[in-house]
Amino acid sequence: MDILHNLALGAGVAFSLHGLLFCFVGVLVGTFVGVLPGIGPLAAISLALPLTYYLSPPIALIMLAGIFYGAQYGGSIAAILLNLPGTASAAVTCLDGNQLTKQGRPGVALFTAAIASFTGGIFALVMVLGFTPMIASFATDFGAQDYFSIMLLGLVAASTLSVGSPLKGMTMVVLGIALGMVGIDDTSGAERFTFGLLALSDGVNLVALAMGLFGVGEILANLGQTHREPLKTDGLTFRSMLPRREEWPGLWRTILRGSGIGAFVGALPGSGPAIAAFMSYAAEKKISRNPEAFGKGELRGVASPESANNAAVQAAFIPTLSLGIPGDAVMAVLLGAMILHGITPGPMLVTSEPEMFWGLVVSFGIGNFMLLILNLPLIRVWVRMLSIPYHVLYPAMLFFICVGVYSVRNSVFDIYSTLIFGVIGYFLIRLRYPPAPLLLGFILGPMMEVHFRRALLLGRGDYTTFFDSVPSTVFLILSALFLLLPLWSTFRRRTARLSKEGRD
Amino acid sequence: MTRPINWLQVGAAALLGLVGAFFVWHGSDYPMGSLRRMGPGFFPVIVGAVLLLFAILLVLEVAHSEKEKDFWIPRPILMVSAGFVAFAALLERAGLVPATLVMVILVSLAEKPLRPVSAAANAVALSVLGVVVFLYSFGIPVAAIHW
Amino acid sequence: MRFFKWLTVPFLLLCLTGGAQAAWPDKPVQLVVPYPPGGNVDFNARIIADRLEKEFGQPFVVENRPGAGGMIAASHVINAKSDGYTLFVAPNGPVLFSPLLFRKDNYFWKDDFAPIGSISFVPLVLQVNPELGVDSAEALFEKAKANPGELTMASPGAGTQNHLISEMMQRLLDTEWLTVQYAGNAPATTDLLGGRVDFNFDQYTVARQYINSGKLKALAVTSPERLPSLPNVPTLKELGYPDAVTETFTGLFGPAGTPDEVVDKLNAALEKILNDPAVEEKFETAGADARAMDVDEFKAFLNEQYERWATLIREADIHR
Repeated sequence: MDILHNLALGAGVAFSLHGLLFCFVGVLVGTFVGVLPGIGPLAAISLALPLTYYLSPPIALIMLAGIFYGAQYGGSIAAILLNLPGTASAAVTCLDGNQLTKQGRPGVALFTAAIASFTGGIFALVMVLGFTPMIASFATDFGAQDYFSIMLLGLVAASTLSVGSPLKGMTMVVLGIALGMVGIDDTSGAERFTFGLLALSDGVNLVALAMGLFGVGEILANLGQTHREPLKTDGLTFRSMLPRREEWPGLWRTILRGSGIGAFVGALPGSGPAIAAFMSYAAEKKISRNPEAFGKGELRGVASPESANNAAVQAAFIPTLSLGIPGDAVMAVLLGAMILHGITPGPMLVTSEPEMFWGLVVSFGIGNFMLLILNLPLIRVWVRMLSIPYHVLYPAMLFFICVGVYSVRNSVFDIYSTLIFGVIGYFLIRLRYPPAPLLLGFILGPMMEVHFRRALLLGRGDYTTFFDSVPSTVFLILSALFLLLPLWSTFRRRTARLSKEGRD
Repeated sequence: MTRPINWLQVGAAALLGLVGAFFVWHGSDYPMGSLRRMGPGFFPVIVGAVLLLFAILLVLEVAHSEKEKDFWIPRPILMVSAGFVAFAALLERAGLVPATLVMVILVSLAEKPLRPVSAAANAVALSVLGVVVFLYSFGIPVAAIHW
Repeated sequence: MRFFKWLTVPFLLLCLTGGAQAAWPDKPVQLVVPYPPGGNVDFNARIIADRLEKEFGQPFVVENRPGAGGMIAASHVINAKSDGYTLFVAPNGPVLFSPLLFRKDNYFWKDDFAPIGSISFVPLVLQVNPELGVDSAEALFEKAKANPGELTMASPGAGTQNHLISEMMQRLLDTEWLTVQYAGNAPATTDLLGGRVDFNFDQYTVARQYINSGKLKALAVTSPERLPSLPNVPTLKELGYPDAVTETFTGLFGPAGTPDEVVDKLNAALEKILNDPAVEEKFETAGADARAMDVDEFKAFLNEQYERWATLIREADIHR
């Protein structure tokens, strides 16, 4: 058996003393980095790079990858407890996670996030093990029209993200798309809406936007409250952190669905964990029997994005390792790390460096396990953080936001933009405009524009190009269903009521 | 019985409409291209127009919504802004420690009652933490203190 | 490990300066990189940072300041004190062309930078998807001439060296193809691998892996000489297009006014580092060619590059 042989080879690397030690260091640093708002896996990995000079290449990669997925997990902690999304994908976790905290169930939310992340990671690992060559060819088959259609699906799904007025939610999506247009237009090279500011030519900084809208906005809203309820928590025993018995079955299905969506979206270069988390959350809400519960402290609203983003992060290694195509900036640093270690990434990596590839894959399993073991006991520590008085906590949060945002690209400008988005965020919160759809529009909008125009350019201006490929056609049909389904269900409800009235 | 007009909500919706109008107006400065080959101006104009349309619908939706209580909070907004601006201005010129001290003190003033001792202690603690975590561990490219 | 490194510091310093007063460097030196970590330029900076640290006994810290085609980093360096403690590791674009491409006159390389030396050179490769059924550069060019506007070329961004050489070739061949812009090499390569675009010009650092594995086919290289690792691939110069000779270089710069003494020290150190077989090998594995130049040689090289490509940018009206 090939796969057993490969696994054994990988286990030899990953279970070595060095392998275990640096895997642990990686996930530990990752968790820590994820908890700190803004610092993010990118900064941590680039800073850890020089340290890996003294390690053998597979071990170095194991550690750096550990930082990456550890940070995804850590990001959920600050999101759930403090409504501070360290990464864009954690912004989705904020929606229900922070509500759960406010309802006094932070332990349950953190526990669910841990289990969901773990399952998502293991799910993606199985995919990497079994299907890497297949998925790799699939990734290059995905063209501009397919990307456009899948993102359209995401955007349509986003209309379900909001709590309250659907019109306000849709307006926020559009405002997000508009904000996303600031900066250089990739297709033509023209600068748009930069007002001559150099710092805006690459667009609004995503971290500044997320931190401002969610973090600073929320803090301002809290400070404005004349009377604040002290946070109650649900005790600190292990039992109190477990979801209720009736919540379990639905939770497992949610986690598996999230893992599937996450692994699929993550394997596409150029999509990433944030889109995976948004899509999976939206899908979950769509198929849920009581979608009204989402955004108000629904446990599945934590499980879904958390399983999806962790699955996506690990699935992203498929195109990176088997094709040499980095899906995002973090993957680009990991490829850079390989080159520094004298390893040529690319289509031949799996065969030319089997020890590294399989060692890394096996280490994902170990790392996820370590994260689970490490974090379940830590939940108690994190929850205690909430008992810090707010007048001590909020200056610290603001301070971490400032340094974190600065460190993303060493830019003072981004500190100012965080402040502006923070004030806007406060107004949005108070006027009941949901910030999450804005963020999704901001991420998806520019990508949709680029892919739409590129598809038309390559298709020589023929709009049927969007129905030329199978994935694109499928996603377009799904988008149409997403739009029509609510109409149909209102129609059904009405006819049901009518027939019932008729019988009476 | 209808509630009186909620001018705050109407104003916010109108502001969003202005943003939409701005995108249409400014976006049309860029080449529009054609439906088959779109220029950089095409999407901004469409998006701006949709935003404008939504804003108009919103004005109708929110006109008589319930009034927000305690909406204007000048003190927190001012003090948090002052803290951010001071931090941004001092970070690269004076160093991380002075920037942190000034920032933490300023944002601590956002809330009543004033707690000078606790704010000062917090500022010192965070400066130390910042230097250890961000300068020594993460190596962000600023000095602790510029002489 | 670290401890031993520090022990060697005074010793190395002594060797280098012959016991004279070593004024520079007596504190950490920043190497500003105009891109996020992970790319070719960052790789250059990290390799030489490690070695310069060993040479001079002070930390050389790589600082990524991405944005605006490298102009954010460039402005940062220009506005820093010209004392040799803030240096710029950058390729063609941010130093020579970005202000032109962005239609800004915020700096001009001759007035605002002190060139110190070259670090490495990366040739570009003209490559196609094998499914296009084109076996040679001549065949591709014939096809382009016979069907103007039909072939598609993937560029990693407006105004990149890859885009510029494509514009140059269209002029030299007197034909046109459809330029499809992407945000970076990765998505451009993906579409080339998937056969959705016909060809591109890509840095050998990126292209090499696909050429070696047979996923893409190299038709020509833009370096002045054939590459040792691709002996059967002709240069564009051989094919009769000497004006299309180009390489992406990475160089070391200080802000204008950096003391000559510092420039000379750094240039000498680069010369030594880049001729070290271990360093040469590192660059070679990455697909780059470590090559040092003395200061005057480097300035002349920059001047030649600027004259040729800036003219093209103005005439072809390329902008970002």
